[in-house]
Amino acid sequence: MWVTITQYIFVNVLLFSSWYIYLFTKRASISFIDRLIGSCVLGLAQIIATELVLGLIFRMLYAGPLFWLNVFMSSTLLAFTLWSNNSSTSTMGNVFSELNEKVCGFYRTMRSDTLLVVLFILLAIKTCWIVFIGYLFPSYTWDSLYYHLPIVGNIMQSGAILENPDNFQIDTFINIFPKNMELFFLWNVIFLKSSSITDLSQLLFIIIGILTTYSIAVKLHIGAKSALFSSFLIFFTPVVILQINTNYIDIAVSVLLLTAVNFLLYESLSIDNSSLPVEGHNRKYPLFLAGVAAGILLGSKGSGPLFTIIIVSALIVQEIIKHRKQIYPRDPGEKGNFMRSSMIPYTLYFILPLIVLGSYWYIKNWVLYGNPVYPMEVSVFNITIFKGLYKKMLDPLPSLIENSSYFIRLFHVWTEKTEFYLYDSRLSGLGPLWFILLLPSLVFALLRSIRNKEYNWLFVSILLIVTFAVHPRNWTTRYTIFMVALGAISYGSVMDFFGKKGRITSIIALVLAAYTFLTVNSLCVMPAKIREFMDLPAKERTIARHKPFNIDIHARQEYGYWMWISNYIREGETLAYTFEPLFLAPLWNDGFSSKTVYAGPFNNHDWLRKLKDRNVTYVLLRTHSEEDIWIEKKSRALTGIVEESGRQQVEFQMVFSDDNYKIVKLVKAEKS
Amino acid sequence: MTEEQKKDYLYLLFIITVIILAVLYFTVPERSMIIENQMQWWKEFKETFLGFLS
Repeated sequence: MWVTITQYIFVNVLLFSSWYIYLFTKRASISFIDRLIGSCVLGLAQIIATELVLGLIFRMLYAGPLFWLNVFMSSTLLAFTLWSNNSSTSTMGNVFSELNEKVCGFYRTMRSDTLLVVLFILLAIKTCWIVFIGYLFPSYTWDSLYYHLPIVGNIMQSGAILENPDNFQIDTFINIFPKNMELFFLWNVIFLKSSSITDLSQLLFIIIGILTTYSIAVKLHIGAKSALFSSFLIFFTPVVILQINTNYIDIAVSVLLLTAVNFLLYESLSIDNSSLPVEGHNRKYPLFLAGVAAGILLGSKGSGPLFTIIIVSALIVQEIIKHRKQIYPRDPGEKGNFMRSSMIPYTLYFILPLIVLGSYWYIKNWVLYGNPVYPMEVSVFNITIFKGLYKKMLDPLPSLIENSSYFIRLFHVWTEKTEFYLYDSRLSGLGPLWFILLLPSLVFALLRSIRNKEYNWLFVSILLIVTFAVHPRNWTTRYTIFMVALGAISYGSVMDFFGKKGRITSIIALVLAAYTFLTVNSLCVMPAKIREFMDLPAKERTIARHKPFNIDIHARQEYGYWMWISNYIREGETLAYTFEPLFLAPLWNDGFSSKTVYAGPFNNHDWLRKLKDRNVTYVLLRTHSEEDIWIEKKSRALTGIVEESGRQQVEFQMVFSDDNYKIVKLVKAEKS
Repeated sequence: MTEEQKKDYLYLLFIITVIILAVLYFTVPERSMIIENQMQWWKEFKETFLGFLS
């Protein structure tokens, strides 16, 4: 076990630190915080890219090749960085002295404000608690078990990123979903041979989110203390706290959007060079990092194209404003080459990483299904561009807001008329901080930026507000977490504007953060269950023992065979299932080292041969199903033969049964 | 009106808005249910924690 943990820690430290050291050499163009964010984004991009190469081209996406490929890439990058900067010792020395200086600066800023210290302590306690719960409990959320983790399982069992047969509706969605984020989930399983921390994957993104919010705030001339205070506030969003330890991807999507916007701000700020957070400006580095973040975002969720179109449109408008003199010269001297100075670097440094990291999933869908966003139909002005199975989103609107107008819907959701918070909160989730403090701050800061013609403020605000406005499900709070960041930045601006007299708003913010801290305990993880799980060995801390209320009513009849699978199915063994299960994820063992295969539809002529061809070890079936009756008959006949001939082996050996399900082991019988 | 006075009025307006929104948010009937559920959670936490310590 310690070998796998060491391997996991080593590859992560090498990967992220090599990118950080590389970016350190670009410190004249990128600020310290942005280099931290950049190394996370580039590290993530490397993880996704190496998994795509191994999974798609070489079809050997296993722990060994993935480890060595990343070690090779990161070592090469590190060697190249240190070699190209004559003195490697002084580079490393500078890296550490800068880190030391920044940590001391952070400590000084924190010490200067008690409220900031209290807010940070609340954040740190909650983070520790989330990590503890994430480690102790298996992934228990609906979509994680339904498709996020089965995607990981499918890739791990084949060592390749393949299309699966469309046996059930969920298989279609598993095939067509963009999978960048699932590749990151896989990264957190494959070395450890356990899924115990994969549900903490989004923790990285909330850290990036806090850093990004701070970085945007500082670029918009908000003081360091206010920027720090406001960036901590985004953590105190109920849907964020509840989603950090789930295999959902909504925090990641919002944070990647904010990250892209943060790096694009260098372009916006370069209009007015005095606002840049660095001495020099080499547009290619921040532009490239924005492209990488947007590329990961594009390949992470079906809404990626919408976000990408908005980011690209904003960039084009910005470029036109910047180069308006070259496009529409008043005198011949102003005429320049717009294509060379703007469009080529823009295409090279932004669009290229965007396409490389995000477009594969859509191109594949286009080739295989004739529609990049299959199964959704795409039509403009009643003209169908891409045919699909569905014209609308599959989830119907909740009846409570079905007949409400646009703004009433938002008001309903933001006032949170629900009895509890949930990780996928549909009608709540942004919390009191957003509605009471950040929303009026946003209005205030927006009006002020219009009045004072603060274009950088307007660039960030308009981009995020337009993204929010055109999102077809903007009343689903988990899809619009980025708005909380915009509200937090606005609040930072309000704090600065009111100065000392604004202290009372900081107290209000702290009280609301503390309220959120106290009221977002997941009802899926009750204290008695935590106590019970603390006494259990890791192997027994399964979803079937957890019985979380969010799935319990649907899943209680499945617990028996889930528990049997997690207890007995070993690495390399294959479980065949004969019906559409409630969730696919529990059909694998904890480390996804076993295999699953659908063994249907039943055919009594060659069903057994199919099972043998697929090296099936166990068959999961419904009691009294066709397969069950057939096996019963066959076993009885075989038992007769066995008794007559005195042989020991039978073909099917029942290893689990309850009222609803059976698992039989396939044992090779000797030919008579 | 001086800039400082304008700032005072804006500050007052901001605080009044925050208070109104706070009243709107916390007087929603479901708020008491969230608090009740969470109090239940903390009560169970306290019992479990004390049990753990002993």
